[in-house]
Amino acid sequence: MSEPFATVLELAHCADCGAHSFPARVYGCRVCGAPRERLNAVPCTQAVLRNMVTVHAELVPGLPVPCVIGEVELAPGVIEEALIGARDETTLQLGMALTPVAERAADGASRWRFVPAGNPQ
Amino acid sequence: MSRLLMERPVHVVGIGLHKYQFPSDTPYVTLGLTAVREALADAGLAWKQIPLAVVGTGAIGMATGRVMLRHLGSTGLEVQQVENASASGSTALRVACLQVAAGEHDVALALGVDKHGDARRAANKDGLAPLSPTANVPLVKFALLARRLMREMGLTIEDLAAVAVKNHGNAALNPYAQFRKPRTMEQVLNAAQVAGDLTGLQCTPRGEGAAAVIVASEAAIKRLGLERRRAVRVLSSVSTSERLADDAPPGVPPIVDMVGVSSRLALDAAGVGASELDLVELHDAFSIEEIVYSEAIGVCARGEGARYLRSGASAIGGRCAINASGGLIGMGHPIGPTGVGQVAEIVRQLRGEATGRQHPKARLALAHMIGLGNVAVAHVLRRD
Repeated sequence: MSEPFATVLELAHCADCGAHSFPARVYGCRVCGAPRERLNAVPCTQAVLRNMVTVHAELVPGLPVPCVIGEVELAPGVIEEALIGARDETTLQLGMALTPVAERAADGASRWRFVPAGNPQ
Repeated sequence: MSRLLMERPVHVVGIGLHKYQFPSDTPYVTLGLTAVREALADAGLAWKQIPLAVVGTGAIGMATGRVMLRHLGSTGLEVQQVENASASGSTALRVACLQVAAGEHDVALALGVDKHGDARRAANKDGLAPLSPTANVPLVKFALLARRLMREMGLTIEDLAAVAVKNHGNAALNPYAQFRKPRTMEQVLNAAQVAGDLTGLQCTPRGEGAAAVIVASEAAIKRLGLERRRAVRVLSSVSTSERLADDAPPGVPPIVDMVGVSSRLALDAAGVGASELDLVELHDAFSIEEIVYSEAIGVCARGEGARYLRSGASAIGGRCAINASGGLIGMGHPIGPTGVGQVAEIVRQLRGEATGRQHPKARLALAHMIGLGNVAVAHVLRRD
């Protein structure tokens, strides 16, 4: 699907239970199921690296390999798979802070790459 | 907990397969009919004696059943189609068993059939852009799970590879398996690296095939004069889906929690314990799964999966043979057929007819399948 280009990554914050969900346009709160009207978009400027692997095989068209894919915690309990902006795993440490950086994908929408905080690329 | 199958016994009376194979020009109709005809012959039934067919497929498309089954004769039977990702076949069996137990029909066919390549995933059509380009690639998810458990549980790359060595070895003994070559530890470790610590030989291949199971009530076995001695009872059938990570026990990934919950429900409904199982067929699309699911099912204690495997306890002839068929890694995973094929293997083993790979004194077994989403389907079977 094509979405407008965005430079700020957003999460949804539930006005009913206080939980965060991803993405901001999610149809309902992942915890209590509250509808979209009860969800507010909030910025996610930093995430925490929880896990990572290097992908060697060409699994997705347009995704150059090798590349590092990680699990990043966007907010407490919200862990998502994400592309990590690093040449190899040895330059990364679990628990480190990452910053989401937007790139323009072929369809004009944002594609997010997470880079070590303080080292925007 | 549903105990319908305990109150109204349902038995598998016929099994049949079309060999799992790499994608080919073989029409799906040929795959499916081969499996159905073999199951009918195995049961000693004629097509006109089947009043219900439930077809599980992930990729073929609308009206898969009638387009195929009319070539056996248009008998007017009820035809249903279910899609539940990799658990489509298991779900077809569940529907067939419950319809027989409920008394709607006294005989039913569960058929899984699929070709590779035409499946379309709902996750790509939900209107929400995923954060990662790999978000819908199971291989990456399981490579991440493997890495996490290697870190947290002290698993090694040899532990992961040992699953593939065992299951390729079992598949080499299974004429219906897609892979028929035993593999050494060295071959598995030196195969092409695909993601994280997983090599190509630790991953299920792409493929196609078909599997069929015919189930019948006690009354139908008597009425139709079927061979009671070869019938295998389905003690329970359970289906669940993944719950929120916050609700799972601390440190247990949601998919592993789902496998634990669904198998526990199935075992409880059957009135048996995991330690009594002689055989388990489970979803080992990627090697890490067998280690962690054998723990979740309760065949061994948490953290003991790799040691259990190394000790030979999960080999044919061990305490509880896991994936005697070769599993998804060795036998293959054509999607729709896979869950039905698991049950066909279990029935063959429980009857003592698994020539060349027979697990001795097999009496009680669990078939456990998962599907994208994630969903789980579990069946417990017993030779009476």
